Amino acid sequence: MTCKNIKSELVHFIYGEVTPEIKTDIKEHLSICSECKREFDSLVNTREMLNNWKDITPSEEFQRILNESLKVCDREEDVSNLELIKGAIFSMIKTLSPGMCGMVVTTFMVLVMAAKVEIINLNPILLIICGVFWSGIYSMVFDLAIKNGSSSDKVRMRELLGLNLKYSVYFAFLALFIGLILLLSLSIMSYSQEFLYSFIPLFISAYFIVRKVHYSYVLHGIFLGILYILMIGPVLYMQCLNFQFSVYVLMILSSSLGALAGGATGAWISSRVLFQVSRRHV
Amino acid sequence: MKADEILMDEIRAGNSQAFDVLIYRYEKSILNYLYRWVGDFHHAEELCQEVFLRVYKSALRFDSNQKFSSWIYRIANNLCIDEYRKNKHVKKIDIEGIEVPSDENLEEIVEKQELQECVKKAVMALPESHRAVLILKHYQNLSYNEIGEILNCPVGTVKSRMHYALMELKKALLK
Repeated sequence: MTCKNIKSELVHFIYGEVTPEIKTDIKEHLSICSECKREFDSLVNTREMLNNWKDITPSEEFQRILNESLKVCDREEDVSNLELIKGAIFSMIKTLSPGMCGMVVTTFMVLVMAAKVEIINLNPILLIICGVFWSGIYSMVFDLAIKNGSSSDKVRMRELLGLNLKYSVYFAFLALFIGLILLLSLSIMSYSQEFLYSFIPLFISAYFIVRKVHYSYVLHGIFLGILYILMIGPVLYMQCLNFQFSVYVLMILSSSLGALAGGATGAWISSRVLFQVSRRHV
Repeated sequence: MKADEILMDEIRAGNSQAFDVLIYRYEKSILNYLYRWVGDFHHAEELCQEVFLRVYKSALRFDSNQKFSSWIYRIANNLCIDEYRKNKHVKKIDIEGIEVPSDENLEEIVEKQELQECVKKAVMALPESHRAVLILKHYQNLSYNEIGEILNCPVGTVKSRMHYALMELKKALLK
């Protein structure tokens, strides 16, 4: 081992965190290299100096105050899986309904514009149902992920949603960017300016983002809406070319699958993010 | 002696005496961990109470397959990070500006206290992630693997933080 390698292992050697082979190498090296020996001695001195900061012991009051606090503190109660799912559904409706509305409106407006210029011939109700289904799956998994995570404390949960702002903003800007590209492409493809009206909901969303109004709800909705449109993109494309399959059956299948895949992916991403954050808030 | 994880099962079943045993086992080490984070005895005691309250409150969420000691340290560490962020505006100690008493007078009690104060300042001047590793390794005597579990980071990261922390302390204390 070179001096550089030895020096990088010295701290771990001092604390007994090296393998027996490295330990032997270091010992041998220290017996012949005065520079590394000096470095070793100074690290040992540092470690010994650290011992000057003495331990403390709990005061006599500590136990008494803790016992009193424990008497008044409520322990979290065990809840059955059924109650957990019921709670998740209720919470999903309560917290994500604005987002779902946002998603439906965004999807609906883009598609109505598309239908108006006869690029596609879709049943908007079907799309809305699929959209709500997707959003539902997403938010349910999202909610369950929070509830089963290491933090189920309600106050902490609010903090988690607040901390999620950074990621929401990233998602929102990504969604806005993709949405703008999509709408611009549709406008060019159809030689129509009418698609440009669809920018309106996106600009409204941007306003909400800038003002941070209900960011966590609105952004989730927009994010879902844009992803949803992207998911059904291939179907729209096939229909433009008058594809000869039973288009409606294909649409139901692909939209539902897209909903499931999108929901699962979204939930996976958000649960990863939330678990990372919630670990810091056990 | 019952394992901590078995005691946690008993707490879940409503045995409050099991919790007393856990307090007895961990109060000193958790208190000292917190003390070396915040540097103030009374504040550390308050935080220590909060740690045990959180353990008690969330006993149901404890997974018996994980190690209790890692779990309780993780709770303590998260609490410290929260505190640190709350008090971010408090003026940071500059590690370069720490004055270490000279060797000749080290026998003197007063100077020993000064030395303790210097070490305290130097440790507290470390960045939070490095400080956590140093305290867990040097003062709590935990293995790198356990530290990795507590801080939720790979052993390689723990090693590099420990290396950096001791090097910084060497610079500050052996001037």
